[in-house]
Amino acid sequence: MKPPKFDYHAPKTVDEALALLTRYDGEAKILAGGQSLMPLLNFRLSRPAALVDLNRIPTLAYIKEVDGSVRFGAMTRQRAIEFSPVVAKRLPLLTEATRWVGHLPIRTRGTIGGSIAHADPSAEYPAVLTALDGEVVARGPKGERVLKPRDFFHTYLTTSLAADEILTEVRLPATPAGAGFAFEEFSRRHGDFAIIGIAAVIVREGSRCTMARLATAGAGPIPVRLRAAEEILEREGLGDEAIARAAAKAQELVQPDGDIHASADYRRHLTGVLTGRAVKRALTKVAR
Amino acid sequence: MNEPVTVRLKVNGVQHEGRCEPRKLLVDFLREDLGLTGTHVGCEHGICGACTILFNGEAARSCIMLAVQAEGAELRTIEGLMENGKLHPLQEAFHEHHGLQCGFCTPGMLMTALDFLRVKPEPTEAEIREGISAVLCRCTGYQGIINAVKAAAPVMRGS
Amino acid sequence: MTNKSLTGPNRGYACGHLYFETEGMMDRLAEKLGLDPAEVRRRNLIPPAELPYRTPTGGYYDSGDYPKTLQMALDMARYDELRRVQKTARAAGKYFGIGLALAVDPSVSNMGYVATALDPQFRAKPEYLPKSGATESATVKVDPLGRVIAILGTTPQGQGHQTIVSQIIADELGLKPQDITVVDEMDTFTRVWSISSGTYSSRFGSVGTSAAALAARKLRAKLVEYAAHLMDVPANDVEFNDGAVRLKRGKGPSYTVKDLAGRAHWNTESLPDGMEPGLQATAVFGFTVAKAVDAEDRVNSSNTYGFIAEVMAVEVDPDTAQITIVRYVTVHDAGTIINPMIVEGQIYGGALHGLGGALYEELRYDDDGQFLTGSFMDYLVPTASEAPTIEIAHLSSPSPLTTLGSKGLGESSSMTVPAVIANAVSDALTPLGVRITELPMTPDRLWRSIREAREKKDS
Repeated sequence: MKPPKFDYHAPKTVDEALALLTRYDGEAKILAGGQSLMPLLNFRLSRPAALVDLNRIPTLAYIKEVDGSVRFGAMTRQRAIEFSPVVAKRLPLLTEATRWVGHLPIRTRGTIGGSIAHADPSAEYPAVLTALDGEVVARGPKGERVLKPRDFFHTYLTTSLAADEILTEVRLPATPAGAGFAFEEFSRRHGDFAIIGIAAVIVREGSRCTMARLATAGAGPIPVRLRAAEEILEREGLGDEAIARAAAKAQELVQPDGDIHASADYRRHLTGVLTGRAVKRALTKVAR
Repeated sequence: MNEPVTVRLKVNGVQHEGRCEPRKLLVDFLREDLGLTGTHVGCEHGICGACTILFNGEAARSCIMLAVQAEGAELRTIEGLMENGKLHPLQEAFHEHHGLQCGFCTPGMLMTALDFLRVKPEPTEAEIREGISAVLCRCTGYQGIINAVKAAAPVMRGS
Repeated sequence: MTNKSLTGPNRGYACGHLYFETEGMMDRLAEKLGLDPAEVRRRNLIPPAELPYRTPTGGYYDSGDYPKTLQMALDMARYDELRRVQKTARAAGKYFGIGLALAVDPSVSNMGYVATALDPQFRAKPEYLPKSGATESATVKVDPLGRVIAILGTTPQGQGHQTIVSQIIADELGLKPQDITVVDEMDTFTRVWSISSGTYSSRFGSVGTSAAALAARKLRAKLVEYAAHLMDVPANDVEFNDGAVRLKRGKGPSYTVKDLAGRAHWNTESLPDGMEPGLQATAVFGFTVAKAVDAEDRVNSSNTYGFIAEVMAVEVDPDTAQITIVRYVTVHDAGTIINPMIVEGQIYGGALHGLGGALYEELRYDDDGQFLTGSFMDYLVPTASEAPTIEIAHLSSPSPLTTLGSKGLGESSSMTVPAVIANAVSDALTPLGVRITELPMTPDRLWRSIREAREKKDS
């Protein structure tokens, strides 16, 4: 249970890192926080020819507000996000979701870029990115491209990042002031991967819902944006019946897989239950 | 590039240097190259928490870090918890409140609790439970540990 | 031959399974008879007057007050109030359940029990050598500087043998526990060793502490005799009191352990005639009730027997099948308690160990024999967040068989928690007719049972 041999590189700039990826032609793996990759290496489930360690590139870690969005350098630690006043103010959903990510010692090392690039179907950050319809920036030898979630997540642990690209930035639109938010999660134990997680943002004006954003973790190979459920709320309001209908619709929108922790049926059922709970809890946070 | 690398780092205030393959895990480097066997290897896949140390002041799992990643860093391990020959308030509290039995998870528990109490100096019992859920213990059922952390918190605030 | 994962005995082995079944049966019986589950148990408890009690299989329960233990648990849990809360909750469509579990807590294996695996006809042959016994040793010695050192035959893994033995010896010799050094590293080559030596089957609390106390008492008797000789008085005129041997009446010299150690080691002429030189004592404690298997396959497989009574109240979320433990009370009778903090540490640990087996831990394989739970990502050990608040109470029915009246207790609630939580959840789901027959109760399995029961009800 020790890693196999690999070439190790710790470049100082993104360009150096990109050059290394090109050199190894798909046989190198990027080491960000290491909280997902290192266990794979220790089990020898992954045997890359080389590791390109991004932890020595200081320019990749930042939290910046730009034009109504918050931009995160890919190597920004989850722990930094958890305690960031900027994030608490502009993206409280992300602050809440971060507390569901493993445990504090994991968040010390884990990064936002790593979590999103790894694309574990049960991870919280991809669900938040999807709910908020954020963007990721991928840089390769040919330059940068900006990708939306639907163009980024393909299937389990698979994104549209090319072997010679690095995810350098994550952009999330700031939550409207006064909006309600909630990250609702069901897992076997505290800190475990979500069996089902729901990211919710609700904007209410009077009795109307002017914006609803809902996305899943654990309900399929990639996060699912529950648009049809959002539309029910935006159309019918935020009463109990509308929420129940939206929750029922959420169940129809997902095709979960089963595993030893939860069957497909149970995940589908939980999607509905947690959607209802997420919306109700988000409502409790709406500014009067 | 799998050639041995030199790793220079500070552990418990003391400068150290070692030489190892880049694939050597930080926990193994601490134990084998530096002789600091207080940090334990439990699961080697980052879940049990027995390997937890402070990395530049923050709790991190050393079995899922490479030694080479600690180049230039300041670490604190269980060996560095005592100060001036005196037990740290957390260690005192673990002793008073039976916060350990076999002791295998204990270094990880203490370092995790240390970081936790810095982030949350006045925790409720529920918060302590959540804070130490990062480390697995089979012996104690956790209550002794929770009682110890609860007792240590005000002492640490005072100092 | 199997490619499945190795398994072996670990804490309350097989008792969790046993009590899951028998305590589940008590609840089924209660349901069939229309009686409260506590009442059914009450009516079937061995009354204290009948102890020591010989069981049909040859067991010998040394002491206990089972009805009192059960009542303590019920009182502490405020059982009647819980039943009222349940009634209200049920009327509101909630799933609130109360579970009970009672268990005899055996400790110190009689090695003779292994022979039950052999055919009685084989055992009847003249060339067959019977097996029996449960012994443990301890040595206590005093070095020339007056340091007291104890050497154990047990091999603790965190159960606090050093602490407990230092208490026992300090009590016997009028010293402080800090004055005693305890060596708990076992080496069969250099230490007193028997077939039964070691730490398993909760034996230290019972046979380990007895050996330590006996060794300390042997040494103390020697010290008293020696001091009396030095004072030139009969041994009956002195006693060990407040850290020294003193005259029972009147004024005179007193001798501490340190005083006696220096003299005994440096001046053997000062010893009474016929006294063996040196200051050490070894005791090997054994049980006379540890006998070989008889011709009818009966054997007293353990030597001391404690008792546990538990009550647990749970709420089951009908939407997610999540179980919330609302109250958990556990009452233990392990005879004389030597160190309450260590005892409670074993109870908390044992309870969570049992909870792990009841809700989280399993070795799973797919149809191709692939091991699915081969890492801690999938083999789920409960964390502090999963540990419930536990209310603990003690009763003490000292064992007539051990030196201090103590019994073993380390395995404790690992045996009863699977039963008590399964009974609580079954009770909660009585309106749906769901009974828990398999552990672990994962949320998925529980949800399926609830869903099937609801569909059946609706159809």
